[in-house]
Amino acid sequence: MKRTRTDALVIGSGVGGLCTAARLVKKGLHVMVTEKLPYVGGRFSSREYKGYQISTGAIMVPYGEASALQEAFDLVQAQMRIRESKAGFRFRLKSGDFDTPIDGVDLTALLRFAMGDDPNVAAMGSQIMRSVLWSLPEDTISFRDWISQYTDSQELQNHYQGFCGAFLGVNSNEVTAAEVFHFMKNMAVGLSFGIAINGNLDLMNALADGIREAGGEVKTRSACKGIMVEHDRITGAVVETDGVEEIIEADFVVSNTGPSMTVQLAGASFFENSYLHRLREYGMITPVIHVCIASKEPLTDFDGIINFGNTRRLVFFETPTLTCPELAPEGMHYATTYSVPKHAVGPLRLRETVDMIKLDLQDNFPSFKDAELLMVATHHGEWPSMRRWPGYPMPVKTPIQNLYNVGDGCMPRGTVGVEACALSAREAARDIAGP
Amino acid sequence: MAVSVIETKCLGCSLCVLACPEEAVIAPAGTAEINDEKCVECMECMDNCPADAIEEVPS
Repeated sequence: MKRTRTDALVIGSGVGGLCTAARLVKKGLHVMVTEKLPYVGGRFSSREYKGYQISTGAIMVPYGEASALQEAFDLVQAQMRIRESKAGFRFRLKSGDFDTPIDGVDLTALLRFAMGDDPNVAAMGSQIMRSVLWSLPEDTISFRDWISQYTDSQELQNHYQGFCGAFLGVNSNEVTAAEVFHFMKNMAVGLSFGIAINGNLDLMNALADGIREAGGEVKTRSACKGIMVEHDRITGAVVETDGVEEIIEADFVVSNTGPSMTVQLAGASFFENSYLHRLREYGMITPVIHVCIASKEPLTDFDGIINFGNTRRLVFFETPTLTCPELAPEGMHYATTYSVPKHAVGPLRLRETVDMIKLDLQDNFPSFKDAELLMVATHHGEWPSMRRWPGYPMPVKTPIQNLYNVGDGCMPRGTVGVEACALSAREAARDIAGP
Repeated sequence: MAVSVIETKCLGCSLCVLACPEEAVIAPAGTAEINDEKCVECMECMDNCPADAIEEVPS
């Protein structure tokens, strides 16, 4: 079998993988990235379908000075061709629409909007601020139960149910209150959000090109068949490209395939029991149903994220073509929607769930009846919304020396999605090559 | 060779739908379905499946 040598081998070209590669290559390491699929980006990529640039997963792009994603792009001088999404959030509640900028939610106004004349508005606000700024609750209480200590307002529960579904990927009774407050605190760090003008693949191709220009290698259609371990230390991996297997010897291996797949690739016997126990015990992914809708006229003229508090399943609605008309054929629009099943664990009941999403869309957007259902994608199993439940990350370091995991299996607490993957990459790269 | 979806492995992620140049694949709710009439056996769906859920079968 052919043998090649590299300093660091990165398996998988998602946000975690490419951001790690970009950081390591700038530290002077020789880096190889292997990607099984024909294109880079994983669940933060895009495909052209019927003339539309459709995301393979995530839609919003974090950027700005505080963003670990932007930092990785900047390191290899990769251009982030994005346009700012200016309109912020629209929280749709029974009492109407509450519009707010992403980085400056007026909590008291929002609570009053949701809770109406409930006398507990001020107490609720003060308890939330206490939790965010002073001390988090223990991880033994769900966010839904935490809220119910302070108010009976069903409408506030409905709001936060939609909020948790849209931004944490699980229902409010399935996430700890501590994780939600941690997330709220991080929302205020000053991230901006945009839409990729030519689709997410364009961004990830730019990052891959930046890595190549700095001396690294990024290969697609190249699948890892096994991670090699000797004396509890990594030695490399077997990779198959065009039907030919090759051994890549590496000092460091960084897996962006998810912690469970990493164990499968290396062999469970190399991992100690407490690690495997953690992997299994909280080994829940977050499933999301991703529906794209095409129409001549946009279903709404709101150029931001609509978050729903009173739907059956629909929690997130965004019309990227209002910000970036380049993503659709001329004169057309498309909307990206995410919905969460009733239980993130347990049967997804997809047919019923999709029927409910359609009803939710009809209820909220009268012109949905004339629109085309472009795509229904179920993000679960090996292609989930997120590889771990928020609040239960696996560490980036595995029990095997010099073997790391990156990506949304290792989201730092209080972070989710694309930025969380970029943060896990920063942590792994710093551990390998220093700050 | 034709292609067939292994239903027990299919996630319904729709990456095959997006990859098919002939619009021969649909995944209305959960599992991909390939329209043999439209399929030109280019194998793009197979190459794009993250779950190895599409296999070649004798046509």
